[in-house]
Amino acid sequence: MRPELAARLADAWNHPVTLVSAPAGFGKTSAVVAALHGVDGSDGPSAPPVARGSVAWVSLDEDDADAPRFFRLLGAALARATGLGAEFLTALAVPQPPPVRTLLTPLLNALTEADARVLLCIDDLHLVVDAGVHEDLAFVVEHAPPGLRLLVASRADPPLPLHRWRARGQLLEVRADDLRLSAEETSAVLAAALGRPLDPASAAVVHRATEGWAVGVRLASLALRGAAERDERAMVASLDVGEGFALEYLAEEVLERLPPPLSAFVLDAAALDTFTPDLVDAVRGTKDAGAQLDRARAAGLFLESAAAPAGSRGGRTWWRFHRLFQSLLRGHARVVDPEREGELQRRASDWFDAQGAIATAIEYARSAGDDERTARLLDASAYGLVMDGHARLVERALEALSEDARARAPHARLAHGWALLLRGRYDDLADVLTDLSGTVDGFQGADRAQLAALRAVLAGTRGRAAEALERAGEALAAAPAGDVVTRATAQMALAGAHREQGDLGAATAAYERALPLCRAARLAVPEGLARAHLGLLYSQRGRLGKALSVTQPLAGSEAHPAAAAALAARCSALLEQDRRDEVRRALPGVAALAVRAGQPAVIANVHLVWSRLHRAEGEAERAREALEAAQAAAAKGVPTWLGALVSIRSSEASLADGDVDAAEAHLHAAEALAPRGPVASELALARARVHLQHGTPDDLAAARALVRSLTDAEHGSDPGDGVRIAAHIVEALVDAASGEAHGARTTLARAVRAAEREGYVRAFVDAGPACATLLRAVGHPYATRLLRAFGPDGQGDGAAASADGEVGSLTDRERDVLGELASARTYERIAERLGVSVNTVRFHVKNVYAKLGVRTRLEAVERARRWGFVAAPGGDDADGSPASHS
Amino acid sequence: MVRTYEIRLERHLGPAVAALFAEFDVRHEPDGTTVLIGALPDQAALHGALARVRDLGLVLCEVRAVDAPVPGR
Repeated sequence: MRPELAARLADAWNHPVTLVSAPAGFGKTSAVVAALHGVDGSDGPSAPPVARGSVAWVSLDEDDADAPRFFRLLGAALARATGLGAEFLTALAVPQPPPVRTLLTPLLNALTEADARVLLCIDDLHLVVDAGVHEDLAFVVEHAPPGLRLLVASRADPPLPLHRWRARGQLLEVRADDLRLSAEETSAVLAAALGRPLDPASAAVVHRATEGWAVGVRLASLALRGAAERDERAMVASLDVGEGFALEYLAEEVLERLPPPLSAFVLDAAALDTFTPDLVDAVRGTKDAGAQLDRARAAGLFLESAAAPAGSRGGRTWWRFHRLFQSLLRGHARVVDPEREGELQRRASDWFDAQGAIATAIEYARSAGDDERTARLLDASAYGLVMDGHARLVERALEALSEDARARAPHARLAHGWALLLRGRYDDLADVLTDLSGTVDGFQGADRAQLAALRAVLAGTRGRAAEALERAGEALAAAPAGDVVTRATAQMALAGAHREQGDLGAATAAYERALPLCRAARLAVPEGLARAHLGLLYSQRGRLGKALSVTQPLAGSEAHPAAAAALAARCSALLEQDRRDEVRRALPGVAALAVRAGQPAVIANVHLVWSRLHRAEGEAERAREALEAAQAAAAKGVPTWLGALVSIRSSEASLADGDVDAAEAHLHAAEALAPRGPVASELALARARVHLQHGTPDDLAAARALVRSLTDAEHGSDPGDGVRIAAHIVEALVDAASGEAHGARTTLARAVRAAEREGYVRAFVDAGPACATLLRAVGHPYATRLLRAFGPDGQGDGAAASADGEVGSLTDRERDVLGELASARTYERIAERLGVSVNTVRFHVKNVYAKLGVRTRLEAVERARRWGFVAAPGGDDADGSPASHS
Repeated sequence: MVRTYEIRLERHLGPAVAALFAEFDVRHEPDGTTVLIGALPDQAALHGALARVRDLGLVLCEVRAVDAPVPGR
């Protein structure tokens, strides 16, 4: 019907980029569809379809704004259109996908090789707000093979380098003025809708008043369709002289001409974002919503199907009005009855509440401006919502409440306190706790325990260990025996307090008690955090295998709200074993999760791992940048000990760069933050390394005294192998620097033996070439392995020596079998569980043994345990089952 | 920081559209434009209102802060 526009749009095949930019209702989508597919919905002859290649169509929705989702849709559309890009999709489908950019190059290469001719159309790009998506999209355009063309439709010009593309003549633009219907086109649309020609003068008025805006012309045809001849003339006359907004006037006209029951239905339904007939009937107290919906669709009232709202039961088609029309309807309804919209939304809130869709129920209560209901719903469900990862929803809803209403939701405020804590907003949390203390006298049992637990954790983050321990004790005492939720929370608080005191053994035990409670109470966030803390503590105490197995359950759960914390801890342990490939693969995804969750402590931890990874790969500059990022995150609010740890790592980095003064300065900062407590041993090690670097006899003596104080058994509790290994390494280097070659060898041999049990690698390599020299003198098979990790340049690029080589060479099936071997099951049982024959199991076992270089089942299991495939025998982790069966 | 903004739009908006900008007072000007005047809590609120202007396809003529601090002070 619009051959010129179609021809113009079909020219998209000749341009690298086409931008269709115009406000809502200009018919962008239908014009593109008509041009590319030769369909335009009219009865007239249509232009032949333009077949210069295949069209990949991406339709975005409000929920598609985040990068992984966007690129999954894009990849799926390309795969449908070209049959290529399956790898791209698979790579994005994993829980922690690598940065999109790294996947785009192979995708573009595949398209180039296949000489694919494809037009990639992205509709409603204005819904994307993530700047990264636009950057990656620009990358696609800049590196696209000649056969790949991009077309985007948007309500606003997207932040792409349009200027550059325009200057190079690469950009085709179709804008509002190109999309406006001409006078003739307006007449034709009206005639088609009315089933008769409208007189030319009237058609001209419609054209002028709507300025050729497609949605306006459509509304005009709807209004005219129901009008008698006299009304028609009056309407056209009003449009002609009207100074008003044509769309508004036309919408009123359309509504006026609908049968009253239908117009009432339409106005009420527009109060709902999306709806089913059931929902509309429920909020209106009617039974005919299904019939009215059919009538509204037949009348062409801009209805479209929509995604189901969060938490609603499946199996129903959800509807919504075109957003522009919906806004006009809502405005009209507010004029008719200012109270009704809120009433309907309140009833919708009830309906969703009854369905168990609590988040949507809260949203509707908020939309309705019903503070009392929002407060009540929040108070009843906030704790579960926060611990299930909906902290932002709770926070937004609480912020929108009046102070009065907020005071009536003390439980929601407690829950909000946990959300603030996770996001490092300690000052805000302190304010909430102060506010709540007025209510505290009324608190009993579980509430008192929750408040005490919050206070304990807040005291802990500020380094007030004694107060934290006291409050945690209160929390435990007040927690009702049968209340697993509260008991779990109290145990977590106690664990944190112990850690703050530097009693890592007691902290570990408390987290180990908390973990099964969290699981029983189905508290997703605390469970993830318990796993994260245990991962870090096990690592610190030299139990890398346990650190890996306790964090393993989250390795496949991107959606888990606390996955980032646990996976950062996991990466840290993996890196200790020099499994750099795995860390490199996982870390970008973990970082993205951490940033999305907005938890500074996790972000800082991720950057610490990143810094160590970069340093291991000889990229000192990037390592420094990562440390700066960790410092920035720490400044936003992390527990004191973590802030000190960031300073300690910065000190070590400066030392590695040969800048002793900077190292001293960082160390002073760390000592000022947390002289005792959980990082005391790290602090002593860092201090000893600085002394070692100075190298005077006094310094060497001081370094030796420091590391000895860590390893001497009479000094308090067992520091664990992690600290012991590091201390032995420093002591050996001190011995060597003092000319005590024999002592150095003996001490380092001790470290090597301790390291072999859990597969420690980086501790040695990071100590530098001097350590490699000493290792050559230690006659131990594991020392030889460690030396390989140093690589030819002595800096450590011998990935072959690391676990990567062994573990990475196992197939998925072989990993399954290895996990089963650890279970002490017979081959027959294993075959049954894996659904294969006994001979196949034997075959896999043989391969596993060969690849791991072991000869017995016991050796294989030992290796599997060390790499975290399975929990330690008799391990107290509730997830002791082989990790590879999910 | 609360600031008063004036948003000038083409044409005279009717009550239904005005009802969608409840946080503003609506004034019809003799030159055929409409001015929305409102005290907004922050920039996010302003951008929210402007997004509504865009999504309704209204034609924006002018946005200004009425009580803007004098530059250079």
